Amino acid sequence: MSLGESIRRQMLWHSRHPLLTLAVLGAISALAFIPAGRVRIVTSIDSLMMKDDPEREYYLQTRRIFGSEAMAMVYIEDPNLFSPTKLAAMQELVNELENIHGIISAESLFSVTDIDARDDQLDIHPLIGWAPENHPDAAAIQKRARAHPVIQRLLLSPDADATAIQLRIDMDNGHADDMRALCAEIENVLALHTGTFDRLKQLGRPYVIDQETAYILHDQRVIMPLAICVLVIMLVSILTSFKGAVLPLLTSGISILWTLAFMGIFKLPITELTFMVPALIIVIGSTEDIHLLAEYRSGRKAGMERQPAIERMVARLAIAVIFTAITTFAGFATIIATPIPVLRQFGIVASFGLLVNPLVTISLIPACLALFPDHAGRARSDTSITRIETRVLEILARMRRRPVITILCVSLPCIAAGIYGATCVKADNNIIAFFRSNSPIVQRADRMHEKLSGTESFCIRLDAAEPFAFRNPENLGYALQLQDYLVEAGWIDRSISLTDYLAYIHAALGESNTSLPATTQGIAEYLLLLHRNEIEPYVSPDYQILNIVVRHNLRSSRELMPRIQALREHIAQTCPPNLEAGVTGEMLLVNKAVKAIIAGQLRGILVIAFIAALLLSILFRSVRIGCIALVPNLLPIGIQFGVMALAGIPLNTATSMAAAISIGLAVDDTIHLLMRFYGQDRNLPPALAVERSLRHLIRPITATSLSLTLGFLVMRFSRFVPISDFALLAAMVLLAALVADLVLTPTLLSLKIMHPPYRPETEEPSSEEL
Amino acid sequence: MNRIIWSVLFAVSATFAGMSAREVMDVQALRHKVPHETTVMKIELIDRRAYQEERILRRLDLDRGNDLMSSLMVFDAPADVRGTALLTRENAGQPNDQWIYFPSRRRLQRIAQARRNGYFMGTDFTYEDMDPESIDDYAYAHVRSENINSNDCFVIEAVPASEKIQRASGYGKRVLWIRKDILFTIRVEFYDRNGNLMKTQMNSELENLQGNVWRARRSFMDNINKQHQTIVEVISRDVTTELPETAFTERHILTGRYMQ
Repeated sequence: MSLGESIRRQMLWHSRHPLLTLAVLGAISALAFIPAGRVRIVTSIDSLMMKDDPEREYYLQTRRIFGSEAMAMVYIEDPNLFSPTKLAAMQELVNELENIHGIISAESLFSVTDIDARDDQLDIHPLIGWAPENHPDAAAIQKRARAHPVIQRLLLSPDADATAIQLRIDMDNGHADDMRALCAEIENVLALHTGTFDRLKQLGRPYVIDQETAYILHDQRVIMPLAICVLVIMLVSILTSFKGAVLPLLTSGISILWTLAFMGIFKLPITELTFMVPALIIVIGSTEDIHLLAEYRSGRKAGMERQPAIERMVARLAIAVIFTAITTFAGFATIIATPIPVLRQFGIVASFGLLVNPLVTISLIPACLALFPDHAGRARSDTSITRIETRVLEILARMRRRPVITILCVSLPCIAAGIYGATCVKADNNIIAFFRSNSPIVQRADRMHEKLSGTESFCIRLDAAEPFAFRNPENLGYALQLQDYLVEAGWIDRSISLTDYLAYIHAALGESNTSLPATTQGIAEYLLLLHRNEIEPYVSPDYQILNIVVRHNLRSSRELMPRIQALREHIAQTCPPNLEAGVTGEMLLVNKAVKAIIAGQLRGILVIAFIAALLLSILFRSVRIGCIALVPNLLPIGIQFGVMALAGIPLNTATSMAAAISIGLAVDDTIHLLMRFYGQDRNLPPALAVERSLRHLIRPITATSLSLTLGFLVMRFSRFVPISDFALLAAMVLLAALVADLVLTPTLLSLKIMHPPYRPETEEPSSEEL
Repeated sequence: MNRIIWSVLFAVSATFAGMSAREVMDVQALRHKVPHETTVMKIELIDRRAYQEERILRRLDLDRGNDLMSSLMVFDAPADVRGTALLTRENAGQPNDQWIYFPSRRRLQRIAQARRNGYFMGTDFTYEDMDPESIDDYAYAHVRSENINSNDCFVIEAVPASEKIQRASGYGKRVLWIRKDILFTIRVEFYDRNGNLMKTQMNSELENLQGNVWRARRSFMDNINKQHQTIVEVISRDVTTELPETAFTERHILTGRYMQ
């Protein structure tokens, strides 16, 4: 028994046992509520990094030694920052922040050691031990702070009107998983000081994670209702019945519930990508419902009873439904192969949802149609078409009379756009790139960069073979040289290392001839003046590993990675043989994933193209037909790349999926068109068969494509930039694929090369249709 | 015989029990003094990841009379800080004099006395903690009595007595647990001006040197703010060898004789 026959039998069984079908679906759905309720929103930077990346272990090891460079930050700006009242408030704020569970320590103006060796007196004390009680004392502190080289642009702006409190997070005791709670606690503390300073803002990792989650919740609140509205509008306009809109919503609802249950069972979280799966199920999943319901209504309009109408619907569309489901599923499944967890999770969840949806559709729709009474309604007969459709069909017919020109007119611009786009489009992967330029997160980061240093950071790690190597002036000298190189390169805001502290003490003690002490003993003596906590992020306890923390504001991997490469080359050329150097950091690992994104994009397109060609070849028993029929669906990818290049949309975690998903969806229309052409219209002369197929399908194809396009455009309202870009690109590809399916596919079908003596398993054309 | 000793001890304890906080501090300051003392101690620094760093410190104390002390602290290990020294001289009615000596610089540098809240040589003790208790600089209050490890203690709160001292001090308040039987401080809590606990010091393994003189063989400072700890363990203590006053001079250090 063939797959088509099996599906047909199954659909008919459901139509004959509707109560049992509904009972089973209801029972599964009721059970699904339990695991579905366990699904949680989890956003993390780790999920944007490649799994099994050897550099990740190096990074994690660095983090274990020096703590995470990802911190929570509080930015304070005020023209009277150094007034007694503001400093007192700041001290109180620092104390409150330090007391938050999950915060290891707070680096602030209050934790800085000030070393003053004027008048032959060595004064070692906290820069601000206690908030001053009068203005002269406050002014003296400000003067000392402005002269303190270690904190410049790190904790204090050059104008001394902005400062930062850097909060080190305990990443090892579960706090990394609960950044939102940490963010909320920090916000609670900041709320106590509202109005004290001109600006008092939270930045850093917990804030980014919190904002991401807030955006996800916002998008769910906005996009889901919009997607449902679009679906209802499309269904009502196509089926001219509100009742007709209920069934697709029901199939989508059940599919979403089952998908959530699947996520709950396999501990797959709601992320910045998986959150859009429900909307995708509503939009994409409804297309086959539209085809089925339109066909059923057509039968009812033709005067058929319910069961015969169902049987006709099943006979005509069962194979198309299952094959289009497979191509759609394959489009999403291609994403699973990526090494980037957030993408892989999306691929798994979306492909599961879009695998389940047609299964629900082929069981629920026949059962409901058989069980519940309906009315013929006011829908037009499917053979009657509007004036606009007639006009479009005439234009298409004229185009088919000049097939070569038509093929060239459609293909060449797509190919040209594709070539242009492929040379211009750049890949990018960065968590901040998820946010719009006018979002608080980006604005705060920009302000901090302007006044202090950018919130982006990475580390240069220097490893020596022996302990205490970084009490050696030569080794420290190399670290200093690297820091000088970075300053000269001009793209960093600040670098900080043990050398800064030693150089500061050296200068404070009046040694101006050299940057650092000339002997190991001199360095060891200076280290006695520092508390371990101050230098903990910059040197291992045994002084064998040194860490240079670099702060910058380059968020785009396009900008950052070439500079990192240049730095690595510089290190390779200059690093002494007794040292090993590495450049690492969370964001570098995230940025590194761009290669995987590009590879994933190419792999996705190739795999879905292969699967679609294979399915078309199997369905129409001809490799030639399978390959040629695919062409109209591949050309819109050129349009996608062209648009990306023109609009400056980068290839990222979300946009990289657009092409593969769109092909998987666009090929559905091709399957319907070819099924009709090689099915009911097969015995007609080719030109007439094309005309008849188009006439029959122009409305459902256009409707489903527009429905999908509108559905994707709904996601354009996402607050996440990549999701919004993905939505635009997917919508454009689908529109382009619609045009290609209406213009190019019929033109190709009118060529002799596409006329094999084959007809798929569908019923004979009715006399009415002939 | 035992009955007599116990009666005397009880009488002494009873006498201490009736004393004011200030009287307790005055008696304590005199009670544990010795004219000369040389202590070799191991300092262990423990960071939040439990990494330990060791230093060996030699401390020489001399009672110059009139309740004025001089002390010299010298690092003997590790090798790269060997010879680094801190010389302190207590002055009557004036701030103490304090110098630090770095062998690589071959120069004594006077430590400013205005603010004493910087950490001493990477430990969790501040320069202020290293000074002998300046009783006139603080106001003491006996807040309660408390039993710690079966030892009945005075719990005495010490706050800076003047605005000037308060500004120089790193603490808003200290709370001392002083054993009533031997008038020895076994626990100190350090609070900031907002009343937040900053550090806790525990003195343990007490030994009776002579008469009423007691010392702790182990001192543990838990820096809650910095999640860092310092343990000071006495390796040897000598209260019999006389120390010349010249051993506490700048010249003695600059000529290198302090290392002999």
